[in-house]
Amino acid sequence: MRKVLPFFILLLLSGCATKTVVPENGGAEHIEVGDDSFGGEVQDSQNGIIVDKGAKFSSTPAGVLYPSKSGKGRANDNTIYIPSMRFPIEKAPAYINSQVYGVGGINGEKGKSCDKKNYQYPWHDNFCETRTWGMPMCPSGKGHQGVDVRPMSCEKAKYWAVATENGIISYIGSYTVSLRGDSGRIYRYMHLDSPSVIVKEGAKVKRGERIGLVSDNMGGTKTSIHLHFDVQQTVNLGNGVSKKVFVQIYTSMVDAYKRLLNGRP
Amino acid sequence: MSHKFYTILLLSSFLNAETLGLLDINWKQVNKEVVMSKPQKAYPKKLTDVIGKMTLPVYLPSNYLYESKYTLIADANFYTMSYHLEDNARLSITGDRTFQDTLNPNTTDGQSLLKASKMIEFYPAEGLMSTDFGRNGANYTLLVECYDSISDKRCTDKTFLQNIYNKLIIVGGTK
Repeated sequence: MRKVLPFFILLLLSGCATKTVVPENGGAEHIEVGDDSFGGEVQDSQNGIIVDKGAKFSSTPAGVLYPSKSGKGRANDNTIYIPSMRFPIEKAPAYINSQVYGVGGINGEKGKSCDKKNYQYPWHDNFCETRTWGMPMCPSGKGHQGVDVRPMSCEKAKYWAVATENGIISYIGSYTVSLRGDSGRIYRYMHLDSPSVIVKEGAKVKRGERIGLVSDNMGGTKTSIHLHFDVQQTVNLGNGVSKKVFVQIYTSMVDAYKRLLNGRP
Repeated sequence: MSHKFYTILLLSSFLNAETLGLLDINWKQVNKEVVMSKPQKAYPKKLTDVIGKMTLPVYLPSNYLYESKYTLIADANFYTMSYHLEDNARLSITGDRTFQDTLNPNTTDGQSLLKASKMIEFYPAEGLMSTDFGRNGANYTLLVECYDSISDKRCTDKTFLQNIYNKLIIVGGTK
C-alpha cells in the first residue's frame, strides 16, 4: 500500500481536464494532459515490477525532443499522417521516449534502462533524434527514422507487437519484421524476440493481429527493451520524381494510442 | 541446392483508399536497360514467369545467390525479394510503384525530398545497412540485416551493399 499511495495522490493532483504544466524532469516544455485514463488502478506485476496503470496519458508536442540536446524535431508538424493506424503494441500503457538519452542510455542519465523514469508519461517525440544517417524530413537532415516505444513494463518477450493495418508480412530478419499494409506503406517492427514471431513471410495479417513479442534483440547484441517502430511511404513530387521516406509517425502514434485507451483501437 | 520459393501474387489492380495511385514508369528507358541486363546465371523460369507479370521494373542482383534460399513476396505493383545468405545475414530488395502522399516540390519539405531523390546514401541505421533509391519512376530499398549487427562488416561498412547495388539488373516487369 505504501508503494501505491503516491500514485493515487498523483492521480488526484493530475485532474482530468486538459491543462499546461511544466515538467519536473527539465525544460519548460508544454505538456498536454489529456482526458484518457486507465481506470485509476495501480498494481504490481508478478515479477514485482511496478506497472503504473493509473497514470493519465500525456505527451509533449510533436517536434519537441527531450532532452533538447537530443536533436531538433519537426516543430509544429501536427499532421496525423496515418489516421487509421492501430497502435503497434497490443496493450497500454506504453511509453514513447528516448533510448539513447533516457536513463541508462548511452547519452542519458546514469542508471538502468529499467528505471521507472523511463516508464512514465509524458511521451516525448524522438522521430528526429540525432543519428548519423540522412533523414530528409528532419530539420538537421539527419534523424532516427521512427520512434522507440517501451512496453508496459521492463520485461522482455511479454508484450505483443501487433499489425497496424491489414497487409502482408513482406520480410522477416533476425530482429526485424516488415508489414506491407494494403495502403502500400511499410511498417517496420524492430527488436522483437525472434522465437516469438508467429507470422511467416507472405502471411496475410489483419489489423491488430499479433506479430511477435517486444524485446531487446538487435542481432547478436542487446539493446534496451523496446519496439523501434517506423513507417515508410512514397511521396509523389510530380514530373516523374518521387521519394520513399520515413513518415513523421509521432502524431499518428499519439492518435492511435488515445483510441487504444478509449477502447476503440 | 534446391530453391525455396514462395510467391504471393495479387494481380488485381485493387488499391487501398490510402494508396493515392501509381507512379509513371519510364518504360522507354527500362527497355534500353533490359537489353543490357544479363545475369551471370539465369534465374529459374518459375521465378521469371511471376516477375514478368509485374507492372514495374524488377531489379535483382545480377550475380548473387541464385542457388540460395530466397523468398519473393509480390503483387502487381510491389515486390520484396529476400535472400538467406549462408553466413547469417539476409539481403533484400523491395520495389514499389505505389505512392501514398503528394507534395509540392517548391515547399521546404518538397525541396528536401527533391534533393534527397538525387542522392544515393548507404546508411547503417538500427544495425542494418540499407539504401533507398528511385529508378525509372519506381522506388527501391536495398538492405542487408546481419545476425551480428555489431561486428559483421556487411552491416557496418557500405562496401558489401554498394557492390550489390552496382550490379542490379532488370529481370522483369511489363507495362
